[in-house]
Amino acid sequence: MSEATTEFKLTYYESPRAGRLALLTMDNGEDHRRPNTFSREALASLEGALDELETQEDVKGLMLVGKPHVFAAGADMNSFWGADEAFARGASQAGHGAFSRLAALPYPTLAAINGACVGGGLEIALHCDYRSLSSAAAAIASSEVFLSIIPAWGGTQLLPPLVGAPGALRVIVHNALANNRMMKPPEAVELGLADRLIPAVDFFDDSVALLEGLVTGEETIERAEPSDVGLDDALADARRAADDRTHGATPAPYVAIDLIEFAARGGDLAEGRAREVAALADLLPSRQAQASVYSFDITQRRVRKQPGKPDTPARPMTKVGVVGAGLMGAQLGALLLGRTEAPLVMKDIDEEVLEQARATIEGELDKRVERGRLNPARAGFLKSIVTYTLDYEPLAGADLVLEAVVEVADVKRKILAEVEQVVDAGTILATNTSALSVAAMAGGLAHPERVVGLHFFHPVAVLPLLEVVRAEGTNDTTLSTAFEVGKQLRKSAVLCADTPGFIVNRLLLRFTGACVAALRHGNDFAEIDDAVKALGMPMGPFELLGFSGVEVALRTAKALHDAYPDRFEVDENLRRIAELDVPGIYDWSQGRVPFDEVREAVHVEGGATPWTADEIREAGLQAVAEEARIMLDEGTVADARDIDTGMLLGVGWPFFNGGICMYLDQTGVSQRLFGERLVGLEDRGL
Amino acid sequence: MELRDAVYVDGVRLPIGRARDDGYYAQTRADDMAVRTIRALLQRNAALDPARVDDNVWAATAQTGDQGLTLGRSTAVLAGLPKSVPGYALDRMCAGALTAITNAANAIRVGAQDVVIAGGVEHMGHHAMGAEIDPNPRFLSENLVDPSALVMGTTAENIHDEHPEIGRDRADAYGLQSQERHAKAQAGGVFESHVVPMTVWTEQGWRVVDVDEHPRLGTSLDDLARLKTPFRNGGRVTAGNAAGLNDGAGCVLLTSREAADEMGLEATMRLVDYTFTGVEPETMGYGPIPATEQLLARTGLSLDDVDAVELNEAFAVQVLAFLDHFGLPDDTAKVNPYGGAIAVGHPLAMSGARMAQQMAHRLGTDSNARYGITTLCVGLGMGCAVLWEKI
Repeated sequence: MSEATTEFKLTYYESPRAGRLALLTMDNGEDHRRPNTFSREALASLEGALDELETQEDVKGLMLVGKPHVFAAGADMNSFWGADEAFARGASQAGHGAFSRLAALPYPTLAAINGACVGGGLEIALHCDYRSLSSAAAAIASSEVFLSIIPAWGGTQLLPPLVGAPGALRVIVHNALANNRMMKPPEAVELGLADRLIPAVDFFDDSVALLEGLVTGEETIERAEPSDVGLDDALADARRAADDRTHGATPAPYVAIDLIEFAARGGDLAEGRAREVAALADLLPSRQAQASVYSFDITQRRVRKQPGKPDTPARPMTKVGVVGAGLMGAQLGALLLGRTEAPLVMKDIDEEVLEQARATIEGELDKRVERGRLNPARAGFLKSIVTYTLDYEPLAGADLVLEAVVEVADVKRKILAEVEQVVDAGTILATNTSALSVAAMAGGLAHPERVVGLHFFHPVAVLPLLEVVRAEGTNDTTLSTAFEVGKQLRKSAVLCADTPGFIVNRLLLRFTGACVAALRHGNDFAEIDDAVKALGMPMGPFELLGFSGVEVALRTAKALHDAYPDRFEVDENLRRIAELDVPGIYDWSQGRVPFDEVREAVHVEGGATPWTADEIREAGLQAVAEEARIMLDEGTVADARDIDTGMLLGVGWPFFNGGICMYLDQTGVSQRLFGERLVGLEDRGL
Repeated sequence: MELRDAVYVDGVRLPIGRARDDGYYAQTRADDMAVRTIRALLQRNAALDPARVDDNVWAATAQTGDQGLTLGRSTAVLAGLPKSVPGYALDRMCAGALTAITNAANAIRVGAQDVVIAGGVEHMGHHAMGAEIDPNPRFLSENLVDPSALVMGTTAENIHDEHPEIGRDRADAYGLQSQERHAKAQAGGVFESHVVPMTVWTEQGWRVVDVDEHPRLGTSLDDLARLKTPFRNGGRVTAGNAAGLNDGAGCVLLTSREAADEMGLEATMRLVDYTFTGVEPETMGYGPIPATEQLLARTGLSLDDVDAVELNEAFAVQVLAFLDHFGLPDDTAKVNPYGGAIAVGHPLAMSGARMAQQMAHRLGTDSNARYGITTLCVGLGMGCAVLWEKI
């Protein structure tokens, strides 16, 4: 996929007040959904415009501006895949060269940031003398570190002197590590990134007027001098944040911090630029950056196209129901109500559970009202269209009924059969089971073709993944509706076959299984967690168990053991821990220290020697690789990218590992075990 | 009932563009143009609390697409006026903005409102004249109007027919005079008092437009004589002695005298009275004559008492017929000293706003002037005239 070249277009305005002003517009000729990006051709276009400007003797000022709704989104990511050191060096140098010429223009230059301004877009703006910012600019961010690279067009060197090192670290490191957090315009102005916040309705005219004033001297920009106070603390904070988020598994944040430190300690700009070039030459070809480009593509572009969704029209959601109003059911009810705004029926067998569900659902609405995201009157209406009931009858007329009852196959089967008595023949029946067979649940129904699995991840409001499970009998309308519901709920839907554990739990459990096995070899909990986190995982397996519940893990392990006894064991240590009456593994009030009961429950095999950290990781990765290979072979998923999407979005496995299949390919594990890669060659690039 | 004074405080317009694919506003929405003028009006009059605007009245001849959605209300919202500020749209073709002004003034005069924004916008590039209408066949089948009445250029040819003394030569000479007067006023900075620039999107990127696009500097009588007469073979009406097809937006701020004093806003003139009247549709260009006559009769004035006339130049022939009727020479300084629509262009419903702004400039800068009339002819045979008095 090649992108339209962003052109730098010049017009001139003979201002009665200020004289000849140049307007330099970045425009790739596409609408706002395809933002301006800077390829080598785009930079050549900028050089061309600068050639013209440098010959004009009477220009008094310049305004750099984007096309409608977009300033610029930075480098052309399509060119990142497969980039070698020479390409990276050249790309960085080309930007430095062109942007430096812009900065050297001998008159006031104003970047009029009219819309999305990300990465290299922010860097070109930093090369102007002044910046105005539209109140409607949707996203302002320096996203490079999120992609395991660094701002390499001057960003790390120009931002610290402008906003101070703490501010620069916030934008370049902290925000990027916080899942690529974008800034809103007032925050950017407060930080000092932009000098003036201008209402969108006046933005272009008032930006021109501001430039006129800057040229004539009628306007001056006051900036607070960034202070060095707290520099050491800010740097230490940022390094700690990098440790917390990546556990040292990707070098980019640390390199970015070093570069910011260099600039903040008064480093020479030319030397700083050279260091950026060298750093990008190292980082862009690296495994982590390459995997990040892949991750970005599969989670931002590919999954939005909903691979696997049939063309069949979906059934519209005019009324929905949830059976089983417990913790998960209530969260699902709140999500369905908030996103579909369709009448909702919450059915349970326990009045108290229903009251709890009401508290959850109404509490979610109240929270949105408090945050100013929902009109209170509309919240009142939404509350009024929820029915809490002990009976099945109110489900009549529902387009979708989602069951979230206890994870017992017989109970689920019985409940779906009872629901079928009151709904029409086309009502979609969905199950939120995490490991049971969807087909088994549909068995015995009059219309098994309407049953589908919709496996959400806890906490439902936060995690973006939805596994859409197609049972053997599921028809296309049902499947299409399942995908459509996913889109309405703003979840990233990944299709998988009706196999136990689906994608994420199955792989995660295989991985955890290897880690749990290390216990009986004499490794302790923290040691195992640390070994895993060194891969960049957000949490170690035992930290995660404390969060999701040992008992739940044990139940899933049993289900998978029943299905695949050879590969999934029900570990005795895990079983013993699950039987204890303690919340998780660690007693966090002591720091990361296991509860005494937990430690005592672990039996180490006689004569075993503890594994090294490498051995722990190797055992985990090999297990995952095997399982992924089997899932692909048996058709649980159609594509290794589905697995990676699941691991990225379902359990937050890191971007810089590309989920997991990409990592296994990049590190040669796949080739060693299977003689080939897991991710198809043609599927890896953009 | 005692009427209050409705006074003119300020007015702004955009430079008028050509209604062409490569014209100033080809890629700019009409409502955004209107909004730009509202914002500029508010910025220039910082003493005005936007919450005190009682109404936002906008005229457009075409009221679909980017000129649809009840422009007065939609542009109020788009311009960020408080949601408490209402608005409406109206249409009287070329007299749109002048009708907005008289409506606004009336609401102020009877005491119903204190502060009103009144304007007009027409993007003839997005809304080609007549393209979006479906004239009732009864107009012709029942001889309600002459077939020539629906084509404005032909109505001008009809006036030439009735006034053989106004030939092509006189019309062309008047057209040239309009160009020259506009050029002189441009050079003299007249338009700086009310024309605001706009930054517009074009194929070449963002561009600032601040000078009217339509005038043809350096046109000669020879050039004009060579132009075709598209409305009739051997006719007299050409692009050189008629208004153009244009895009433009402009609005004015009217208040009660009391509100202006209270907010410390300076008023230039008050709206004294006005008339609207009808004439034969096939010679609609006569409209300003009976409208002005009636206005003078109502107010007991003669044209000698009137120091300034802004007469819309739909066609040179219709201006010359007016001048002849009132015994004024073709080059009278009383009428259109800054040129008119033949030079600057005529974005239909917008032109009344421009004329009121030029009237304010004239009365404001001419210490001897007291009364002024803005007058227009209107399609389907109407005329309007508004009498202003300097404060």
